[in-house]
Amino acid sequence: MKAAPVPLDEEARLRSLRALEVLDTPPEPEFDDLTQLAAAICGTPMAYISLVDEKRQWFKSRVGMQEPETPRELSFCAHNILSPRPVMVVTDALRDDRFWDNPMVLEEPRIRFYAGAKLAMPDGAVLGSICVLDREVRELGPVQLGALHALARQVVRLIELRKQAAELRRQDAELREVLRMRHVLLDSAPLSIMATDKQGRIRTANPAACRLFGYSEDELTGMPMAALHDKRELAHEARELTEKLKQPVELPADALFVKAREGLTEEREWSCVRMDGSRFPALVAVTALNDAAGGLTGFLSVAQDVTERKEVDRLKNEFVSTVSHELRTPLTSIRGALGLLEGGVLGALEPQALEVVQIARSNSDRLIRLINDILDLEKMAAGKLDLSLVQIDPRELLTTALAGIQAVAEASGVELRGGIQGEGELSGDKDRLVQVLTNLVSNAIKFSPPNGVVRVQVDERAGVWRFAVADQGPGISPHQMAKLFRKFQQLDSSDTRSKGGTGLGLAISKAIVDQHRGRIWVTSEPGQGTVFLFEVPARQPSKSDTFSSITLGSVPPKSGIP
Amino acid sequence: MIVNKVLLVDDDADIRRIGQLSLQAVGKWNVVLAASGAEALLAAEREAPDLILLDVMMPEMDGPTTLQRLRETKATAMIPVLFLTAKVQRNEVERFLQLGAQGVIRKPFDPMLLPKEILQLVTPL
Repeated sequence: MKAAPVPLDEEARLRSLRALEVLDTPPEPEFDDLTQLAAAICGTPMAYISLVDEKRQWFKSRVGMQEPETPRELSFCAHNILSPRPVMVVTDALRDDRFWDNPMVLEEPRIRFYAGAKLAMPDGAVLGSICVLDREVRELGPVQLGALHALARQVVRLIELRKQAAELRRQDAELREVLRMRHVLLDSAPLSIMATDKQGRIRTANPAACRLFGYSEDELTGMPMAALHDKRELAHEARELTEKLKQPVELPADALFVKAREGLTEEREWSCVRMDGSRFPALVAVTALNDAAGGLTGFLSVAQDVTERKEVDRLKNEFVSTVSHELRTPLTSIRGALGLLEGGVLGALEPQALEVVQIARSNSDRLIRLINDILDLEKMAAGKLDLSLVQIDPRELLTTALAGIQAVAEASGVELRGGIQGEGELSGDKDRLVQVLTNLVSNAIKFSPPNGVVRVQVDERAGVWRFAVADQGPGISPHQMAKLFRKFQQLDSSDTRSKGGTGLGLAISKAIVDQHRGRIWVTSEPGQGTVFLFEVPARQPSKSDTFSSITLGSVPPKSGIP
Repeated sequence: MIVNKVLLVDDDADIRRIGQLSLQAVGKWNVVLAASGAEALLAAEREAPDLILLDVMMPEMDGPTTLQRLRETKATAMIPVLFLTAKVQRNEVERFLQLGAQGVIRKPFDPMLLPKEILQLVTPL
C-alpha cells in the first residue's frame, strides 16, 4: 500500500480548510442531497463528501458508509487531492499499485471502484472530493463524470455560502450588541436626547426625554420639537435672528435649528413646556444630523432641566451680595473713624498714636481691596462679569491709567513713560481695561528700584491692540511665572505686607482679558526686569453672537452636562 | 453749587455718626440725620437741605423708594440726591442714575475726601 504523499501547499491547504469551519459539523441536508445525487447519477451504493484533514478524512455527508471518518493513510481522496485531473477514477482497486493491499479494499467495505471529483476552492486549496464507490469493478461514462465534476463545484459553492452565512450571522450579532449597548446608553442617560427629521419632527426620544417633558415615547414621536418650547420665546427669537442674520427666519420653530443648520452646535437656555403646560428652563444643545454624504437628515437635541442649577446660582448671588453688604457696612465705620483720626479733624494726635492709626487705616484699606477683589473674582468665576462694550481710544485708556497712578509712582520715586503706535479704536469695557492696565503698572512700580522707569508701550497690529508694561525690577524666574496668574499667588510671601497687594490682581486681570477674548502673559529674566503684556482684539463680537459657537465638550464643568 | 445743609440718611447709627463728623469737620456743613426712609421724607420737607445722602439698603422703605417719594413731593422734588451703597454693581449704578439720583457714593468712603467727592458729583461739569 502506498500512502499518498503530502501536497506541497499542505500548510496553507489545512489553514483554508479550518478557516471554513466545516469540519466536525452536523449533517446538513443541502450536502446530503448532493451526495445522494452523485450516488444516483453514477449508480453506486456508496458516495461521500470527504474533507482531507491532517490525520484523517472526515465525511461531511455520506451514503452507504458507517464511519464518520477514516485514517488519512487509508484514504483514496488523499490521493485524489494530488491528482492533476479534476476527476480521479480507479476502475479496479485490486489492480492499482496504490490501493490493492488497502484494508478498505481487502476488508469491509471492500472497495473496488472509486471516482472522485476534487473540491478546489477559489483560493487554490483542494479540500477533498465528492466521490462515488462500489464493491464491483465499473466504469463511468463522460456524462456521469461531467455530472460528478459539476456536483463538486456545487459542494465548493455550498461550503463558501455556509461560511459567508456564518460571517453574516456573526456581524449581525455584533451589530445587535452594539445597538443594544447604544440603547442602554440612551435609556440610562440622565439627559433628554431626541432626534428629529429635517422638518424638526421628533423621530426618537429616550426615556429621560419622556420623563422631562411628561409624554410617552409614542406621544413624542412625530411631534414637532417646537411644541416642547415656549411659543412666544421662539417667535421672539425668530424675529431677533431675522434681524441679525439679515435673512428671514419665518417659522418660529426655525429659531431652534438655524444655528445647527450652519454646522454649529448651539447650546443655550430655552424655556420649555411640559405636557401639563408647566414651564421650566432647560439647557438645550442642538446639532445637525447628516448622512454619510453630508446631507442634512435631521437634528439632535440634548436637553436638561436647569431649574435647580439656576436656583443655586440665585442663592449664591444673593449670598455674595449679602456678604458684601454685611462686610462693607462695619468697615465703613472703621475706615471712617480711622480716617477722621488720621486726618486730624478731631484734634491732633501724638506721633505714636498717629502712627498706629495710620497702620490701622492702611490695613482696613487692604481689607476693603481684598473684599472688592474677591467679589470681582467671584463674579468672574460665575461668568457674571458683564462687559459694557464701548468704542475706546487706546490713547485715552493709557492716559487714564497713567494719570490714576501717577501719584503712587511719584511717591515711590518711579518715572512713568507711555508710548503709543497704531490706528483706530478698540471695543472693550473701558473701566475694566483701565483696571488691568493700572494693576500691571502698579505691580511694575512696586517692584521697581528707586529712580527706576516703568514703560508702557501700546501698539496696534492686524486688528489686535497690545499693551506692554516693562519694569527694571529684579525679574521673575521661569518656574515662578507659571504661578503668577493664580489666585493669592505672591512670589515672595513677604510681598503681601511690604507691597500691599491682595494677591488677586493678576488673576482678575487675566479674567478681564480672557473675557475680552484676549491673552495676557509675561516675559522676564531674573535681573533683567519684567514685561507684562496683554492683547485684546480691536473688535469684540456683538452680544448676540456670543452664544452660538459653544459645543458641549467645551462647556466648563460648572455649567456643563454632569 | 453751594452746600450749607446736608441730610444724611442711613439705618446704621455708626455710619450716621461717622458721616456726620466727616461732613461737619471736613465739609464744614450743617448735617441733619435720618435713620429711615420715612424719617428722611419728614426731615427733607422740614429742613429743606441742599442735598441728601441716601442709603440704598434700608428696612421697610429702601433708598430707591424714598427717592421716588421725594421726587413726588413738590417741596423735595428738586433736592439733589446721592445714593450711598455698600453694593457695587455697575448695572445698579446705572439704574440709580435713571431713577433720578445725581450720583452714587460707595461704602466704605474716605471721610477726609467725602465732602469733595459729593461736590464733584453735584456740581455740573
